[in-house]
Amino acid sequence: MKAIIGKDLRMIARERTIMSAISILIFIASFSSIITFGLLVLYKPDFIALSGVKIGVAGDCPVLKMSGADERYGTLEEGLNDFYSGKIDALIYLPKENISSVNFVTVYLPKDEISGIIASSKVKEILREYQERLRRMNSIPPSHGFDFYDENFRRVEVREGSSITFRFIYAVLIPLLLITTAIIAGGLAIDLISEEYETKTYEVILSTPLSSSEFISSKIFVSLLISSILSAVWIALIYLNVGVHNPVMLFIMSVSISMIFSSAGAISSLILKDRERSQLVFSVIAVSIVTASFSGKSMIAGVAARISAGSPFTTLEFLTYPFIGALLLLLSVFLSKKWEMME
Amino acid sequence: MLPVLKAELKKSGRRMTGKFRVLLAVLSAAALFISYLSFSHGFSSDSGIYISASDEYIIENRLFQHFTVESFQDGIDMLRSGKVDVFISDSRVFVRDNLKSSSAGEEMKRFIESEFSRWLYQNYGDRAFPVLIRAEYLKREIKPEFSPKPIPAEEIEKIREKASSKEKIEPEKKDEAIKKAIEPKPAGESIVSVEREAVKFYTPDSFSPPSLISKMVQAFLFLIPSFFAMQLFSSSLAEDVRLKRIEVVLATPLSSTGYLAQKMLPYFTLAVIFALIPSAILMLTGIVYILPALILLFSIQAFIAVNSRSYRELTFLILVANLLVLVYLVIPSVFSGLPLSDISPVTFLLRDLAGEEVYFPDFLISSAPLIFMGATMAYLTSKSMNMENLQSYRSPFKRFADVMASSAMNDSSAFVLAAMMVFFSFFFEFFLIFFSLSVPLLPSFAVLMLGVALIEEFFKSILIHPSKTLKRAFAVALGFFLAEKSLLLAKVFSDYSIVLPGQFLLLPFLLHLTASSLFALLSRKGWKIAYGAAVAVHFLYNYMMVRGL
Repeated sequence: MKAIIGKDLRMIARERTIMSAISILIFIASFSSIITFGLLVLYKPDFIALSGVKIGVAGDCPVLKMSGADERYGTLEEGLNDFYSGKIDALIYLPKENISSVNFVTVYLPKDEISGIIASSKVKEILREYQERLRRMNSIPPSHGFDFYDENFRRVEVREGSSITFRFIYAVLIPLLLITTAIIAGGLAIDLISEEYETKTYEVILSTPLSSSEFISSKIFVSLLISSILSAVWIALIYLNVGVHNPVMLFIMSVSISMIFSSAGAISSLILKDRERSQLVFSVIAVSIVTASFSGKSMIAGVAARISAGSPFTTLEFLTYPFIGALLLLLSVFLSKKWEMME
Repeated sequence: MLPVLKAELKKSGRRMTGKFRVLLAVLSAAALFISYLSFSHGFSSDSGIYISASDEYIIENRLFQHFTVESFQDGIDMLRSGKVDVFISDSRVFVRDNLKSSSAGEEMKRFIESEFSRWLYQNYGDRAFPVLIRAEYLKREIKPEFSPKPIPAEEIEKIREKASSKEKIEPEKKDEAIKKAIEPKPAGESIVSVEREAVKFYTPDSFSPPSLISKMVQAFLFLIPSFFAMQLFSSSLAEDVRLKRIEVVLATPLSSTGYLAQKMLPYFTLAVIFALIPSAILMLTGIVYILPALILLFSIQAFIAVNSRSYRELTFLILVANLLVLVYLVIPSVFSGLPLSDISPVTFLLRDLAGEEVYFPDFLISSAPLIFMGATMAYLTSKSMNMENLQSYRSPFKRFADVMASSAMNDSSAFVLAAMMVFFSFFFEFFLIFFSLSVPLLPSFAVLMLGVALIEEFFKSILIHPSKTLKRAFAVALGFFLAEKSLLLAKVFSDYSIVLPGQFLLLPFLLHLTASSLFALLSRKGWKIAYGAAVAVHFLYNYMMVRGL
């Protein structure tokens, strides 16, 4: 068994295939910074704003014109002229204001310009203020009245855009890394087994004292070893980049999911015996698992998200995956024995 | 007629036995069912990600795991010790100064706003929402002028017409859109949406820049099923290589291009059919946006399948390639609203799905690099199908360099290949820009400038190296320069080139010529020395341009 494991590891090292796998994970791990930047640009545009933007208001709307705009116009034409010449970056247009009813406001923003994104943030503030003024005029409470404080009772402003960034990193990106590692492990298990079938070396191996269950176990072991290295790499990267709570538990979870995928890959190779069909069946199964992973609190992505974010999870939620992995591993060994007896 | 195609269909028929077809059908039906259930259930891996506590309120929101505490002091103590992320008491919300706690605070603020809106709606009805917003995005090109000319009256009328035409939708649809804007939504909504809306109103609280993030899942619906067809194709082609069938085929009068085309055709058709299914459901023109991506992905897979030394290498390299292409296609849509987002045709697909206007020439410009790269990869794959290459144990990267060198037989073919390499350079430089966002500004510029020099000089050097003459250096520099300049005519790529200093007219040509000539002169002393010198010259130029020297 040691010899088989050694041979496979040597081949992987010689082809430097593990380097491409590590590069995939480094690549995905670096997304956290990229996505953070993208989301911050969208949700907190002043993050990239170097200079202020100017907003114009056009139409017969005296109350709106009092709500913080930089330029005021009587007609849409005047406003659009300044918009196209670059004097203003957004134009709010309300043809006729109605204090006691709904006001349909059209906002003209520049397409595909950074200033458009920054301007939309300012437009939002102006129209919020306008909404509050109209509510007051109609004797409606203008806002909820809750204020935010830090733990030392100092008033603070809540950072917009931080939640979507946080949820993206912990509930999408980290589960995605975990699943990608598992898919690599599953694909590797299929390749290691089907290559022996297709080149007929499997028969040679079985003519030695090595049993088919040892053969399958060694192939799954190699794929798990590789997935452990990959998991350690991406967990370390994320830990250094944005921080991870419970890195050891996350590592165990990642290897458990890899065990599920590797065993599923090994079972499909055992049954189908050629790479083309095994990979196809494995991909269909993997797609089902991946889509299901994100659909529930206790599914793979939900548990991984809470482990890495330091949020509460139950022992049952955590232990389910190593248990399923171990069960599938035993099933693949059992099937290999049965197949050997049948052959 | 088409013997390889016939053989491929026969082989698939033999391999896909009755039992296997049943197994595949059952698994596919199960996968579809699970996917349907998952999509209808919604994205919820972030459920319970935050911890809240209160001595007064009970928070019912899927993002929070809530605890009730006995006293104000208990709540503050729990917040200070990090046991909870947010604590609410009376009309005060307490958070800590870290990403998780401030994220929880933001989500709590949204929850309070949503509850407040619900209360307003129940007590005051529509009157509580006196402002409804509709956004119009207008393209403009600002030219510096002393006295700007007024916009023609017809143009103003067109804009007014365009804005009011959206209000002329059926009254029920308008009412529905208004109701949707006003009615309070549960906080912590899923970040995934598959809805297509004709017209959308916002309240000032819900108004935000256009974001395609919630639509990103639709791009995957178009792309992922095609990957099954690609997997079958690469497996079949790799099997032909591993079992040496390809060598037999190459001994016949059939050309390698003919073989590749016939081998690819059935799987490409299958991939198109897979992409047509979401097109039929979501938007008929959807397939048009996906075709360039399919062309590129199939040709990359073909190259990897022919040039991998084992199945392991094939699997890993295909994963890397698929991931790179998927990121190039999908991630720009995160930056919707910025010019960078227009480099991918998938951004246009998502815009179309979101009901935004799509300018066809912009889509064509975004597709051109994918089609040119796809054509080049297909050409290089067919060139790599020769006995010497198939029997060698060189790595796929070395084989790429070999086949590039052998394809650049004369200066004119090197000129064409150099022009094609511009698209590959832009592709990799896109990732370079992304990576540079991860490091502080000053080192990021240095990394970016060095990266650009390394990528561009690499592609040029492998074309110059076989000849090592100044004439070849001139042909390659000219090809690269002309393609680069033509690409920069498109606005999206010219915006891009401000970051990658290529926006000037003749200076880049002098740079390419100098670096290429230097490489040609030094390449007799070894590829590494010559490459290093060319990179150094290119880096110095980039650095001086950025510093404005």
